[in-house]
Amino acid sequence: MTQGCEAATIGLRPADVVMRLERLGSAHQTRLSFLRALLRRMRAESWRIARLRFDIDGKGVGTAIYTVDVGERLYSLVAFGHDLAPERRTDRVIAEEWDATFALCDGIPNEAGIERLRRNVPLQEVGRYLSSELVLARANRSVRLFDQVLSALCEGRQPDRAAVEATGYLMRTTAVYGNGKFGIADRDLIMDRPELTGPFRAEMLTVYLIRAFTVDLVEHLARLAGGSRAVGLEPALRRRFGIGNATGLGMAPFLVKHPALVDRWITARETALAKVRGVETAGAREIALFRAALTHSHRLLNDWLTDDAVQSRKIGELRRDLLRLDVFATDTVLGGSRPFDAIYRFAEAHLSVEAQEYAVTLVIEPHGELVDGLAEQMAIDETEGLRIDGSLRCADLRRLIEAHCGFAFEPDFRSEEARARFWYVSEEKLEPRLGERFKEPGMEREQPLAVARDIAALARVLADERPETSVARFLLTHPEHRHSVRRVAIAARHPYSEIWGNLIGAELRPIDILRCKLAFFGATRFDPRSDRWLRITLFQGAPFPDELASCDTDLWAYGA
Amino acid sequence: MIVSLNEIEMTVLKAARGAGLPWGLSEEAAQAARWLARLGLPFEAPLASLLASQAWRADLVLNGTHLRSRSDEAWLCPIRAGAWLSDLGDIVPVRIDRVLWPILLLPFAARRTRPVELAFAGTRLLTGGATFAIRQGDLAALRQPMAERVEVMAPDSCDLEQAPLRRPEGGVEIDMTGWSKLQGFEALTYVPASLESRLTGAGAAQSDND
Repeated sequence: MTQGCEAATIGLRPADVVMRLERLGSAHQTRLSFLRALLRRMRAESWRIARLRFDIDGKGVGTAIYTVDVGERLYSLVAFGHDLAPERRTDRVIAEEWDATFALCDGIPNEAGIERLRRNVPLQEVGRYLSSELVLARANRSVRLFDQVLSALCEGRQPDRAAVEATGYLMRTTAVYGNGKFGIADRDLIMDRPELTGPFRAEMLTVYLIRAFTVDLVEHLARLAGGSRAVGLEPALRRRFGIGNATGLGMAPFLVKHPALVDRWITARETALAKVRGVETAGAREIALFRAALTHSHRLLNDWLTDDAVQSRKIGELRRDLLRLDVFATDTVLGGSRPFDAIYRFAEAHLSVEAQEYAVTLVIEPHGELVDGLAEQMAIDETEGLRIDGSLRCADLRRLIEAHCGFAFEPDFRSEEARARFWYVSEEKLEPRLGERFKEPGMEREQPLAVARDIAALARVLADERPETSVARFLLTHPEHRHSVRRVAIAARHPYSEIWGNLIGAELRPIDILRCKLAFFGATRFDPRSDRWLRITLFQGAPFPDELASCDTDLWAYGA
Repeated sequence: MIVSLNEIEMTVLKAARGAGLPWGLSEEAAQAARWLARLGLPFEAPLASLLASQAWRADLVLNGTHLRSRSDEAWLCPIRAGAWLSDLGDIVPVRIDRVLWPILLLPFAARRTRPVELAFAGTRLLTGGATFAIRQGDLAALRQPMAERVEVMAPDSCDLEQAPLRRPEGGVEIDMTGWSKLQGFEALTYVPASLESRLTGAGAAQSDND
């Protein structure tokens, strides 16, 4: 048993360290990540997942339904398979057709309901939905691996493991929509259901079911084509299939638009880190789990491939740094006082930022009992930040900015470099885009993501305001600063609400913002395809629905 | 058409911004619409008309807690006035003169920690939290496009029964005329594609048949 926990003596890492773009862009999954919290809940509550229907033809066209019985309620994933011409296949949001489309439903739809879904779900954004639908998604095949696996299974043999590891999934989702999009249920409607209270829980459940669908599909197609010769995937190899995802700029504004929520996520992880660093002596079980996670990580990282030069260099440094961590984490260190603090401090002093954040993942991993409860504290009622306290004086507001918004004063916004970009929503696809402010038209339609610039502007105006003027009166005459005042008020209560970086600077790599959110989802194998979009893998190594009950380890997350 | 509360919030946010409201007030308009929609109250036509009026540009005069426009011709924007009403906290009484669509003040008055009474043109409303009650007048009075004077005061009694937060289970049926106008304003926030933005706006395209 682990002895003693004096979390109070180790503080949380400060926001001006944690919230830097470079560090957000080096985030890794932890046991608090949303998909891991979902799997723990599924296992603890013995959710029953069943394949209710699988009417799919040899071309992959048809309908499949999976049901999820959580005890109190039933959910279902309705999947439609399509025959997609290769030239129509694109991961980008500009796509209009996909290999498969999905809806997660409240309950199980009847035939009329399925017909209605069949008329809408394949159209995705162009369809209309009801509040009985909770999530909408679509996926495309990873053509090369899908075909390779299919032909192997047809011929009665297992696919090549190296090929499976190189890609890691049979299909990748290209969008997963929740919270009221296109008429589906508002999050308000489901947030009080205990099984769906965690952030993105319904979305994670959808993706988990889609993963099961992808392996069922390839096995089904193999049986149709190969007949009695065909075989199914051997279970250990089957678990190496995660589900892919391609994500672009559409996701980036989320982190900026939900400051208080982001603070809850980061606070949970940072609290977990502080707690485990405060552990006085490690138990044998914790030491063994830490070592196992570290050992498995070496192989896991060998399979993390990308063509992106920056990420490729970071992975190389991470591999090298984990070897150094191996050398440092001797029996003496792990058996000594505050072993996980020692490991974290070693990482902080000697390893790359990517490896420092991986060390955070590793030291948290063995401490489920200590930290798993934090995963239940990652949601927040955002309406709490709605009302501005107008009784504050302008002098108070200035002090709050100075105390909590240091990020606003780091860039020199007089330079064009610092304002080089602007965020906008494209008329063509109604999706967020990043433009060049001084080269492209449209900056008068800028989205409010230039938080640092806007708070700096507020600070300049406040400098000329009488200190005793109330914020209510100030905002009545300066409504253009209202959004910034609200953010300052949130930052004062939520230390990790703001990114310590310039989101409109020439140096911005938007994938750093995406990476942070995806790590909280539980993503692995970040594969940037440009500075604006990337591919990832979810649930790789995770138990399938039929394995949940018998899987008694969390080390699947490290490829065990 | 039936829409979700999130669609209402997003459409109104963008519509308000597209019409020219600053972002902070656009957020307030979006939250106000969500509050009204949840109670089945009209927001589409009032907001569409308000956004066309550009009333938030009027010069204001603030005298203690009495807000009015500088010019006798101008009418006040209930989003701008409502945001101020919300910022004031629990201060009463408050008087707002010549304001458009007084129903749009309701969600802001409701944010106070204690219920308040709103009185205008023979109508008296009690509001607080997620609900409201008509003390005098009728629902039709809520659709008045303007009020010469709105007074916000402490109620004689606070017998406002807090109805449980209504969740429109099946979504919200909207008035398409007003909604279409809001969508027109919404479109003004979008940036048309240029050759350069197609190439780089979301990252260079590569083949996905891999």
